[in-house]
Amino acid sequence: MIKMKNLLFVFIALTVLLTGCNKEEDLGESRLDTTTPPLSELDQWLRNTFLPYNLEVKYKWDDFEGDMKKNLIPTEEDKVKPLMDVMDKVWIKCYEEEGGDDFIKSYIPKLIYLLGGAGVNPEGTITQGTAEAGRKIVLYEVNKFDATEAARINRFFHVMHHEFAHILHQTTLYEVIGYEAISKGKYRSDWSNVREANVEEYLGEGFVSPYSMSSRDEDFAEIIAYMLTRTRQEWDDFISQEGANTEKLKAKEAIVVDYFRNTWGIELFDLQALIAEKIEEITTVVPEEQPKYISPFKLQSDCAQLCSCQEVVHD
Amino acid sequence: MIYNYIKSILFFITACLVVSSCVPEAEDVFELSALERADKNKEECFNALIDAEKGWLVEYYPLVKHYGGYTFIMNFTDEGRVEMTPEVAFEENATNSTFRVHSGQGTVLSFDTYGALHHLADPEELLPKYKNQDISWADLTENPYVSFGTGYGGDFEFTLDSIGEEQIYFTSLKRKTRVVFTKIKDTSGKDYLQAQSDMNAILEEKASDGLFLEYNGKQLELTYDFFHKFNIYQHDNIGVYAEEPMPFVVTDTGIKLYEALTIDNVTVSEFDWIEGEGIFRSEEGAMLVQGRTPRSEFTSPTDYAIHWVNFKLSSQAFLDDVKILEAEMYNASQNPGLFGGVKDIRFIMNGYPTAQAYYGGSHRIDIYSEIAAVRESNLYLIGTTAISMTETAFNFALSFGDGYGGTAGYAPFHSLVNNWLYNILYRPNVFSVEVEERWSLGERYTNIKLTKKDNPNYYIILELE
Repeated sequence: MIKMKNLLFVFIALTVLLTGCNKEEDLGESRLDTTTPPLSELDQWLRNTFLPYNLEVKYKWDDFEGDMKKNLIPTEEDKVKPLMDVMDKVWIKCYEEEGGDDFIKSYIPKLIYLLGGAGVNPEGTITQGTAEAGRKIVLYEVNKFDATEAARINRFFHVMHHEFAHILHQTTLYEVIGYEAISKGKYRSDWSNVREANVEEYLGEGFVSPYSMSSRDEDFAEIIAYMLTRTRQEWDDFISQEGANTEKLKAKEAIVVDYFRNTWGIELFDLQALIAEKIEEITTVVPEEQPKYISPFKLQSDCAQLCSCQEVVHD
Repeated sequence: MIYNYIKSILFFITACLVVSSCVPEAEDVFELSALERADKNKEECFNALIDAEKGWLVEYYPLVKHYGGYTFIMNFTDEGRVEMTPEVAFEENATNSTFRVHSGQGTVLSFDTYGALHHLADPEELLPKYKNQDISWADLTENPYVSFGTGYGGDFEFTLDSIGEEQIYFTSLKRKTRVVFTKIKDTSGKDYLQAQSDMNAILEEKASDGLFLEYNGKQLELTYDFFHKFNIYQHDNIGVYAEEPMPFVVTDTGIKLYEALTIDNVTVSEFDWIEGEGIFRSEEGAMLVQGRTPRSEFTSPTDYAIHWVNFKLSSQAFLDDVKILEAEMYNASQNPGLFGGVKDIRFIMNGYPTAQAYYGGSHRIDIYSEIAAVRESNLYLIGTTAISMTETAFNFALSFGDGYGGTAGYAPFHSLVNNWLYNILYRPNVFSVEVEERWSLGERYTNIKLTKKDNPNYYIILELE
């Protein structure tokens, strides 16, 4: 009886296996369109500039790349080249010079996605940039970029330095126990309630910004971003201002500087000086394709000076 | 036993035959594969878009219940570029950006770099206005689309519905509003926008003076609520009870509604400007006219009345004050300099509660009240009040605009009513506030009693239904 059952099982198995599809169809060529779309002058420039770093720059809308929970808008084409040109000079080339060719090519994110408008959060705060697993950086508010003012450049590169710092510490961790001990118990989830004007509330606790109070890693990334968007003197003045807890900030600075030196072989203050130098160069040269931005207030003061000079001449 | 065994074998053989019958090929329902059909659809859409010598007239509603429609002229090129020129009132420049047609949820037209259309999707657009409370909290809470970071709620990706001879129909991807692209033939895009701009100026002028929708001998009051959107109001004897948004676009000849409107079996969708008559008229005979006849409750030529919620329960002392105000306003209306010397002027204050809620154990009631003047058969809103009250606090805010009438002639009434309300009510330490609820004939009424601290016989009871 058992034999009969076995025979039956074999019979069924063979039936199932052998009565499958008996025709092989030629699938032919792929129907998916894999041809390269026509490249504009801007596309060509982006490829030529960033291909050596294996970096793709996406500036056209792709809803899979952004945060689907937010209302976002694409970039103005005219903003892309000025921004990415400065990105190349101020960010990539500076890290390359201080950290070496291999360093930047290894850790640079593989994709930068540009968005025109702000990433407005439900509680009214604004996200300026995000990093995802060291692979992608999303940069918001590109339509507001202006390459002729240091403050406007630094607003964007603050985000880049911040997100790149996350990539680095996610690759090799810094001295977290010592770092966390400096502001132990002071990290808070309601950091968005802390106003920038109340410097004592955050600087007084050894944080460079309200956002840096949100977590240890954000604090670490914020310190780096603040250092690299200021000259040495500006940084020293910033952490020594009235109401700041200079001792705590210096302690954090020391860990960050050691981390860059020992882990990546980069002297952070040298990198800081190089970036400041590049920004100085960029903001003092008026690009041909863009008129120099002049603040209305500056215009008024220039006019006042001019007027007073004329008065002197007349006198 | 043998019988069972044979039955098992037959069962398994049948099962095997059923399961292993994948040899015959299924017949295709469509001639082309799904991918080929999607590609074909994309190609047809792309080719249709670039095949318009004078471009396309695009009427776009970003968020139908909140805003009206915006007009753009779009010219597409086979290099994937699009020139967008918005209507003059939009106050944005023409742009040249990129587009692509791709497969997503169907065939999708994406404007993938920033152009004039994206202004309506910019999440920062309404943020400053929010801070000034230009959008009500009701909007914020009732409509999930309207929140921080929504802007005007616009899309810049549209799903293809169908391609016609002269029109292409899309649906916006996120908001699901209908978007119609109409091929421009008889005129140029520039001429159309100029004519549309002229029509817009006429509409703005008429709307600022107050418009009514007139049909079958009746009138419904309209307010020009936002860019290219009317609200239709229907009134009962107490106050406003229904409000319906009526979004539209301005065309070169008049206005076109987003959805046909049916009231009392009259359906209208477009109104053309009739120059000689100074009205907008639909083919069906409905008209948009400036205010002419009164609401039904104001038909008596001699009456003038003040209604403010229902204060009939208030003390005689308070009602005496009301009569003084009525008399003062009536006397003021006799001034020949006001309203051209027409004496038949009445004043109405209608209020209705907008919110009742308990906050931290305190009962809070918000009331919106209109103060209006009626001259002959025209109704003019001269001011609004926003009242918020709890058991312990009474906040009162007056807002006097130029009203529908838009003339400075109302100024004396503003100050008159303002002073009266201030003297009577807006004195935080003068009144104590009590709130009680009562039921009558199955209806709940909320009474708010304001009593003068130095004279308990002077009290006002606002009865809210």
